[in-house]
Amino acid sequence: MKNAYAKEKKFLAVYLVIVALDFTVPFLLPHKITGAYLFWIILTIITILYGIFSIGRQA
Amino acid sequence: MKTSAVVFVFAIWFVIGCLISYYAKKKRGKGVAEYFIANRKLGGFAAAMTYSATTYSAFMMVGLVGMAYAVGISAMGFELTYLISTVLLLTYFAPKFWAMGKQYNCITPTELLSKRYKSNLLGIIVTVFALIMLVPYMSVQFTGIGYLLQGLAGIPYIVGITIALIVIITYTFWGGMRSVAWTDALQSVIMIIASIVLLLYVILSGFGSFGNFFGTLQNSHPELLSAKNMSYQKFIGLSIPWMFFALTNPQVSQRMFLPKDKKSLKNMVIGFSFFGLIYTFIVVNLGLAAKCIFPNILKTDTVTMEILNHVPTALALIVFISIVAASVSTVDSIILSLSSMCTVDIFGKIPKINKEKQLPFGVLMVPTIAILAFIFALGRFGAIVELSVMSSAGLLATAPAYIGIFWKRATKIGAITSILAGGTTVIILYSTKYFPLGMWPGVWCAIISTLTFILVSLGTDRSKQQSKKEVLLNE
Repeated sequence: MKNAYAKEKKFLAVYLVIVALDFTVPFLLPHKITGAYLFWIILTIITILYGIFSIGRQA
Repeated sequence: MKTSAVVFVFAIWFVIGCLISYYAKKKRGKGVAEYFIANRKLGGFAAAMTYSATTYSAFMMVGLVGMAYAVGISAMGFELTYLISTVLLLTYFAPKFWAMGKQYNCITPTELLSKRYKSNLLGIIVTVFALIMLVPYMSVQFTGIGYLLQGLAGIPYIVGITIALIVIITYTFWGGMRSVAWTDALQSVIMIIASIVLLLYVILSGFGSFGNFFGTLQNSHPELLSAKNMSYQKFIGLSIPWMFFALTNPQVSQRMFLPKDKKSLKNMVIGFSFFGLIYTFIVVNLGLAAKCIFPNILKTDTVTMEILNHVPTALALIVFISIVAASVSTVDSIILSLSSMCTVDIFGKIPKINKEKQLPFGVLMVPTIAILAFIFALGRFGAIVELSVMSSAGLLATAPAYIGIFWKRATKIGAITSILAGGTTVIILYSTKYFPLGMWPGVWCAIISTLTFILVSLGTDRSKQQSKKEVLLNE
């Protein structure tokens, strides 16, 4: 039960941090390929890798 | 483009799809679960491809290309925000939904809601709500195919949408989910290959290399590389309803029940994640490249057509088929999901109904819902576009109820009132076009339905009072 609660808290924390980064950082970056363009792609790749790692452990 | 060439390529694609669908029909077993969720026996590849093809409609190659053309990488941000949220939600919820679906023998996501909250009324409300929101959305896909065939091959609109109706019913009616999933796999392969080839052709012929393309973009159109090209309120307003798409739209949430085992489920999530990233990257860069090559297109919806007019005919034909495939794969999945919900959550709940009658009813619902969307498309009602825009925001009202499945204190009254409150908010705000504080209806829907769900659930939760009573009785 405690384990499930900790998992929920961890998921919520990861979700909120990633969404907060997604909604703020790109709007502060310069108008370059290395700005918001690259940031959004890298953030997506990191999220996918986290997803693979996380769902891999569950499966 | 010559009509005969379009008809020839379309016919080849349709015949291949029919063969796959016929093979799926031959492999089909018996029963409602087999017809609507392939008896939970889909492999990882088929599950990933059907999830991808269902999620990504013709909006990508037509709408998002035009959006990237108009507002630059804000369009990519909006689409990747959806993908990021979906990957995270699937990581957490997909294993739970899959296990619960299996344990409680659920065929539809609404059935899961009904069983969790012990309320058939909730299942009926969500089914009716999904019908109201998704039928207009489907009709827009029909309309898209009709206009595409008219614009590219001169085929009259009514003939175009009738062809679309025949294709969709054929792929869905025969073999149910197995047919839809296998034909979706074909559609998604066509979608990704056609878009990769098109992007490579546009970049290499227009700029010589990706390096030159990025250089031109940065030097000639730096404004396209700004995330602020779209207003922040619009960005939030567009993103939030899509962030919960994986839970709120039955045609995708039902796909969490399909994989045959945990490994297939994992492969479904991974496969979809990479498909989404690659497809979004391609589509957005097509829009950005088009802006550099054809900077004066006024109607953003015609950007893809403009690109296709400047590529070899064979490539244009493959891309055309990929756009039709994207529409068809989205619509057939929605039709099957809505049919399953009408069958299981409404027809199946009528007292004294023989269970054996459920499958014939469900099979009959497939053409019925398809024809309903066709009639909407035939009428070309002005309100259809607005209703389809409303659909993603409207279905967001069901998100708290789905997430609340795992909250002990969530109640059926909380779930029902949150859906009604959120749905009503969206309908009122879209119909009056009044956006309080400049925030879009989807944002208000999320706030109001979440608050209603939490407050009403806490107010109607009897578990604490019951446990106190039990303590007193025991004493």
